[in-house]
Amino acid sequence: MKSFSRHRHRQARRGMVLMEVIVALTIFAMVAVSLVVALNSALDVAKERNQIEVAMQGLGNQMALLRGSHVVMVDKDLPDDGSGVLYHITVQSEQAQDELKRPVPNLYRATITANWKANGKPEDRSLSVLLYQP
Amino acid sequence: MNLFARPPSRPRKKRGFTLIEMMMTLAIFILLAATVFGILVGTLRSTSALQDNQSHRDEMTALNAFLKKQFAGLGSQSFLVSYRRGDGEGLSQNGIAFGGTALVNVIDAKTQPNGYYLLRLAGIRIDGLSFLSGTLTGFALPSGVVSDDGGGVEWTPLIRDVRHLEWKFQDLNSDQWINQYANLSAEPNLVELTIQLAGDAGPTTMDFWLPHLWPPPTVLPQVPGVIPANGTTLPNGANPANGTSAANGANPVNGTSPANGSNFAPAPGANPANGTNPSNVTTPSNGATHSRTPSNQPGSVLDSQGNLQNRQ
Repeated sequence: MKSFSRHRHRQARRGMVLMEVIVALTIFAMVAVSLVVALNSALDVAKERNQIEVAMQGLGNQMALLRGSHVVMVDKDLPDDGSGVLYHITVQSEQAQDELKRPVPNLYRATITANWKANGKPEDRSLSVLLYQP
Repeated sequence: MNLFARPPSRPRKKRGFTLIEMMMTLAIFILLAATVFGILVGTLRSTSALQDNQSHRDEMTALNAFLKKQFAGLGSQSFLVSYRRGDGEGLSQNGIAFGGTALVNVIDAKTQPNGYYLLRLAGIRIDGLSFLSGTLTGFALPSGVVSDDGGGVEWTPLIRDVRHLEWKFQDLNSDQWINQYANLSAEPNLVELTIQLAGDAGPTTMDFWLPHLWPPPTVLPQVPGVIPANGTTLPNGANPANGTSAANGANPVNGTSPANGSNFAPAPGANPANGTNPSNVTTPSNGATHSRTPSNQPGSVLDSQGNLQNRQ
């Protein structure tokens, strides 16, 4: 009788060890997966931020180039410079009025838009200034 | 109460682990450990790469803000010229000098002991533009200013470990982009800086627009490298030949005294006597290795708004 109960006890312990291994492996796998996911998302965020800064730098550059040239009414895409960011420039005359409701001439609205893809999603930033050129 | 009493007798026949069990356990453990180690190494590597990338981008942003501020502060009666250091640096043109008749800011690149360049800044108080008109020939500033690191000029490091940089200038009248600009009578319309730090995947380009008179002033055609000696096209309208700046005793026409650098007072706050020796600013702590390893020093003294931080 005694040996039988010990035998049963040993069988039960063996089953517990297997269960323990499975549980431990599952927990480990979950932790590892969550680590990888967290790391991946951190990388994505960093890449996204990097791309935003590239785009903002590019916007500043394009605005400097625009200010350094004669105002020409345009609505065009700029050629791809290989940075992954596409720029679109719009210059149109701005309708503005002074206090006496008289139109103010020679005012232009320049808008530069940067478009890029971050993790498959389209992103954009834009910069808009008023130019005065008599 | 004997603490050392034997535990109740156990079944004698408790068997240990077999060799196979031990080997399997060890194999599984090694596999798991290798996986964890791989993840850890990958994490560390990408984290440090990200940090490098981010710090470089921060430096670029700070440099961009700094230069933007500097150039936007140039009045319409100021100048911006490029020059080449005289000691055979690997860059075709590696410095710009800009300012007015009282203060000139010089930004140039100097070779570091590790083979990269240090982008640095100096402010030099001058008496009129006479020193430039007399000595700025062949796109070289006087040796006392740039070639020799002494001369009482206090350099402030801006960016370390620059692999490559290039200035380009757009002429106000011809709209042409040129690599060297020596026209003292008119600022360039646009200035473009292409800069790549050590470890960067690609160069960063920055464009700056300089405020100027509109419509642009008509200027005499420029012969590259030759500055008109009579100074009639100087932006401040002063003619050095008639002695408007002769109060200091310098002869603006031949400009002999600037050549030895004695005409330059140090920038305000600079103390050449006990100040840091600019020549050892770039020395890495590990000695003068020529293996092109980035130095451990902080790359920039610019904050994110482009202000110079106090390093003392």
